[in-house]
Amino acid sequence: MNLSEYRALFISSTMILMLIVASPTLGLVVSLPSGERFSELWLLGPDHMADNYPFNVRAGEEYDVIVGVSCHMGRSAYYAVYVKLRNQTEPLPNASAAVASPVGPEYEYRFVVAEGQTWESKLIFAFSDVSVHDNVTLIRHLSLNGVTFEVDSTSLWNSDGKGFFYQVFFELWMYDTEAKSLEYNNRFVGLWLNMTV
Amino acid sequence: MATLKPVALMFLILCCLIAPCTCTASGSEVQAALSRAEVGAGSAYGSVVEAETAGANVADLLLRLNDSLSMLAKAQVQYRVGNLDQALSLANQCFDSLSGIEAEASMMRETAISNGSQRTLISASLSASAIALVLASCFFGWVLFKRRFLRELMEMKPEVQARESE
Repeated sequence: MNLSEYRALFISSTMILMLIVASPTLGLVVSLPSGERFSELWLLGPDHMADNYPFNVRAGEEYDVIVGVSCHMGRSAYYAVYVKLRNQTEPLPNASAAVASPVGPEYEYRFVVAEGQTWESKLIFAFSDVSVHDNVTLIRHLSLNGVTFEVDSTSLWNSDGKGFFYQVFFELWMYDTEAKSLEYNNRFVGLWLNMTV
Repeated sequence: MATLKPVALMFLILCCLIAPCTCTASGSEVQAALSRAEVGAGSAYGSVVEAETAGANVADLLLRLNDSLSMLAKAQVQYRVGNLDQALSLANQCFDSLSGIEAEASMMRETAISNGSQRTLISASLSASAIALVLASCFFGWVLFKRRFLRELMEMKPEVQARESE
């Protein structure tokens, strides 16, 4: 090695040492790009597993499911989960347009979740005042976590699936600090139920 | 007895008129309380997030905010089922609890910003001193190395010349 090569080696070593020494301060000043930001929404059965979901339901009996939300937004997020009931003809949320279902909410949860944390809650539901006339079933009342709602929801006999089908579904909404309102997060989970009388 | 009857009747009518006003909240009153609580919740959340971004530990504030939001959700549910009194009470309780959160979050944010800039200043000073030390060490190291290298090179030359002269 000649002298100029040694000089280049000294300069590069000095640069590397300077970067190592300055790295704690650089870490405070320079912000690296973060990964993808998203939220998770899930529904579990009563045993806290993706199994044994209620399906064949009847009036006067209680059923339960667990709804959960996880935050990966890089900061704490303020969420709302709206619980809705629909029959087979009422619309679900439009995923491609990111629009929530026009079906009105019955029950709701509101909470904040810190980055990387999860939130879970049990939903106990029951139907009452259910009647069947010809091939139409009518649910008058739906109880969610002990609160009774007047739903008056009808469902026609489904000859393919052989049942009166309803869906309890959960929509995830998140607070937008710029819009200063809750916005639909384009995530929902649903639970199909067959009303047996 | 004859004079008592009209008085009693008047009292009864008055009671009927006043009772609904004092015991039952009106729909518009509840709606106003709910929207006030909604705005308050959004604002409190915004303050907590600002404090969190500034580097404050907001774990306790998040717990309190969760309690308030739970009250707001219950108020909305009670309003939906037509239990206006309960809805109004919950919305007002929620709003009252939120004001404390927002004030505390703002205070924590200020403290975090102040601590953060102090930390950055200390870190920058230490880094600058360390860089100066590294530069000085490397410079003197280079000078010493160069001197030794050249001396060794000069000492080698006569031998080469001697070999060449042979």
